[in-house]
Amino acid sequence: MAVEISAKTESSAMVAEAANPPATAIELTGISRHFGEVRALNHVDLAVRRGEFFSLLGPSGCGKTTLLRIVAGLDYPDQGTVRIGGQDMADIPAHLRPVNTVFQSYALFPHLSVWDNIAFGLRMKKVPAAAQATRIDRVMEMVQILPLAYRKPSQLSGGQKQRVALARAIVNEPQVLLLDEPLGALDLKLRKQLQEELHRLQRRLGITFLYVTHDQDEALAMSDRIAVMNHGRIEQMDASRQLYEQPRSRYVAQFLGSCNLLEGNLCASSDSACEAMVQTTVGHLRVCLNHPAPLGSHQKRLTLAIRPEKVQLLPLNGHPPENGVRGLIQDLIYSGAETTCLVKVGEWMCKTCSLNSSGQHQAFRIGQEVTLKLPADGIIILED
Amino acid sequence: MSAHNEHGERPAEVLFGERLTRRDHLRRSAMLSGPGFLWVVIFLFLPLLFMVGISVLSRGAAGEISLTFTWENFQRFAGFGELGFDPMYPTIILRSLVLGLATTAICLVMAFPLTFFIAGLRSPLKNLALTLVVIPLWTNLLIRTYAWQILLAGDGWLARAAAWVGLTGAGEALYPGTLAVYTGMVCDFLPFLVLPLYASVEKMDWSIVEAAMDLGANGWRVFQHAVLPQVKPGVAAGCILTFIPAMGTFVIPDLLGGSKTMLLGNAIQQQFGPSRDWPFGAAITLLAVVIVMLGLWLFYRLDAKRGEGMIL
Amino acid sequence: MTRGHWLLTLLSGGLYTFLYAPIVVVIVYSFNTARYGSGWRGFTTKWYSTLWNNPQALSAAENTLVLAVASTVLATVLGTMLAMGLNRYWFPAKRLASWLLYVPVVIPDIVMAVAMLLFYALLRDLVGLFNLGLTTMVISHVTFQIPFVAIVVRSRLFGLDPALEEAARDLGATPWQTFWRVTFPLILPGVAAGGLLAFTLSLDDFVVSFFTSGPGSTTLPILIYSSVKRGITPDINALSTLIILVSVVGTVLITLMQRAKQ
Repeated sequence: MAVEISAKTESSAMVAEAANPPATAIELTGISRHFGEVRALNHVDLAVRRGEFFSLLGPSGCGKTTLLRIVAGLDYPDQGTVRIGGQDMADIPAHLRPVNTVFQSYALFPHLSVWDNIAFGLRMKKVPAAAQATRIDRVMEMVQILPLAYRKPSQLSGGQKQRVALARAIVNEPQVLLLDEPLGALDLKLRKQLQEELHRLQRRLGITFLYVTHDQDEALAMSDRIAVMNHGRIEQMDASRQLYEQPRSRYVAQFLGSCNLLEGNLCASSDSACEAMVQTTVGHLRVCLNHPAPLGSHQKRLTLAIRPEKVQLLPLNGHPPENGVRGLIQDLIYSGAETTCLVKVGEWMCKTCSLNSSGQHQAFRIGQEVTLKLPADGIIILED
Repeated sequence: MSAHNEHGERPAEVLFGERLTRRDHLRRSAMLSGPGFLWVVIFLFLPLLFMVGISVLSRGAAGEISLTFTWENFQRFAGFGELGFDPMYPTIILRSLVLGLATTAICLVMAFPLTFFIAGLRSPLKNLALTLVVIPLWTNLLIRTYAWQILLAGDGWLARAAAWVGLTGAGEALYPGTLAVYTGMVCDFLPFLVLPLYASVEKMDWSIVEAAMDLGANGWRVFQHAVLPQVKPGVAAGCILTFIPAMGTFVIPDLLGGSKTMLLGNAIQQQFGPSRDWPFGAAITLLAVVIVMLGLWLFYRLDAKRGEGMIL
Repeated sequence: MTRGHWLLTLLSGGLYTFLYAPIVVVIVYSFNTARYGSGWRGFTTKWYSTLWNNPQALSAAENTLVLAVASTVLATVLGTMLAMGLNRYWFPAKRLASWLLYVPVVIPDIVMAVAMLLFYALLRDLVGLFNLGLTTMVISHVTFQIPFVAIVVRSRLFGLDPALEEAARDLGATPWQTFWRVTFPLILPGVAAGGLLAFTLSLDDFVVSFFTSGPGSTTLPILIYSSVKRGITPDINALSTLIILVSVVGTVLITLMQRAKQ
């Protein structure tokens, strides 16, 4: 059934470009928008591939929702162009754009039943009644809300409203589905469940998803690619794994997961061997670079980042390993699956964490002196 | 994020996906708000302007408006007529003010127990009690007013009770008279004060009252410091809703008061009716408008000051 | 606490009695056999049949209804449009204009009434139109109804989530379709409430009607007033009882409607 729908999307929406469908679903170039004195977006460039699950991630007020609204045609850029499926959207009003939105507040029409809410878009497009019914049934089944057809939105739970909002959008088989923090109002457990469902649904339908969220875990769990936004700009745009393991800036490193930061000066670097020596407050550290990069002059100030799970905690005995530093355990925090440990090395507080199943932390107590190993290939050099 | 703009300082650039220029805003305002505004301007503001113009003209011999400029109309209700000083109109103005203020004050005093009684009831009873306050409000004022004529008539038991107590002589009616006017006014305007007050009391945070009692404050202090500040908006709204119509009323004194209780409303009616002196009537009307506007302004000022010991 | 509660109940009982004494007395007297005086002389319904055969009362009832319906329809349309414009679109000095809208709400009705009387008289002298009658009464009623409707509808529009209309646009509705399929159904309760308020205000109005009516356009409140001026007759009590009945039923219905919505 799902295959049918996705096949239909291709056939109906792409009929004009059937011979050569563009690989980018959305292409934004030089988008700027300000509200009075506030700059909401500042020269944003973005290309979303067809069939991709793309997330815009950032704190509130970073401009991600404005960007989504501009794509939907609910707002207009002061500068820049929006292309959807290769077509310039400058003169195309919201109701004629091949996109649909799932709103943060769901925005279900309170005066219409669930069925009528879902049928709204099809009626606007004057889809024949019989075809409407089959399409609505299919979508309602897909998001598991068939028994709710004749309820009013006020009689639905948060999760049910979310599903109706989703059904109301995808029944129109848009080229791109825009989702504005669709899970923001739900409790954690339901959110996790719906995340998985959304992810599966996107795979089944093959529709391009442009997903706005401020929740890093959500973005990491679902997206093919993520753009991290800050103050109306895109800080970094990469595949999820890339973004997490190779953040380019302090902002990205700290926004996605937690990380330990360490200031230092460059002592030596060799472009060919892809490694560098950095002098830090905790001693000299060797850093492996996964790609050769000119790091700049000698003695240049650098910021290093290392994820807690990369830091290894070792007992004091034996001779110190490479990049090993001595520290004092300040705190051990047990949280079910893993244990977090805070270790003080001089003035620097380092956070480590490991799965409890690994048994790594079990041998340690608060106040114990330990060796921290900061593996050379786990250290990231940030650009700022 | 939405470009939605409610206060109208700046035109929204984008509204529900539509891009709008200033010209679009003006055109749509004119199309939508234009007819209604124009209606009110033509049939209310324009007539009020005419009223200002006519108030400085004089009355012709046959009651027509004569196009001779004069300040006489304003001098007349200040008490300086053709026949020397006459306190009739200054008295009317003063009496109207006193009646308006006194009605508001009496209604306010009565509204408090009634409101707290309703607020303290359980849900189905509460709705019933509230509806019982609303019903008189929607019942024609004329009917409620003339009924007092029956109730206060000379052979009625209220009059007999008053006579027995010694308030009046035997067989003497309680109406027409000042007491009858006050009775009618308070009865008519009480719901106007109860409803806004109730809206405030409903929203009240009772934990503050409990805290005050917990700290050992006595009844009056609890009321003054924990209750009053919270219900101020309701009190202000109710007072305005009572004072303004009470000031301008003409039905109640007309039906319940005698010739001795003439008020501004009756004076206006007399000039536009039997006396047919429209310029003078216009002048009195303007005075009424000025008093009402002053009253409004005063209420807002007192409210803004968050007065010490002041209720409003 | 308990003593205070009893005192409150007693006081409130007294106040309710005070509020309802006039209403009850009118109802009771409409069934009183006595034509004059205030004594009870026995039960009768004859005043209701007298009323039914009173052509003046019937024509006044008709006038009242025609006036209320005509003015309410006009005022509801104009007031709703006015509210839409104020809520969504900008024009210079909009604040002042919205403030002016409250003037008809707060000025005493006698001021409004004589201002209109004067205006119609002047127009009559100038253009020969605006003879006092139902037309001038409709115009006057619409004038004080518009602001009430606009204020009620505007508050409803204010509480409307803008995302709903955006969702309609997003789902393919043109601005016009968005209005009729989403905005209007959603503000309809406000429009209905405003209309109902306007209707009640028109039915209840005496002062403005009194000054702007002409011969033959007497309404029920005017009829009651002139009858009272001549001396209360039992059939007027019967008429008032019927009006009271309509008010009570209306109030109860509105209250129930509001509760059903919650």
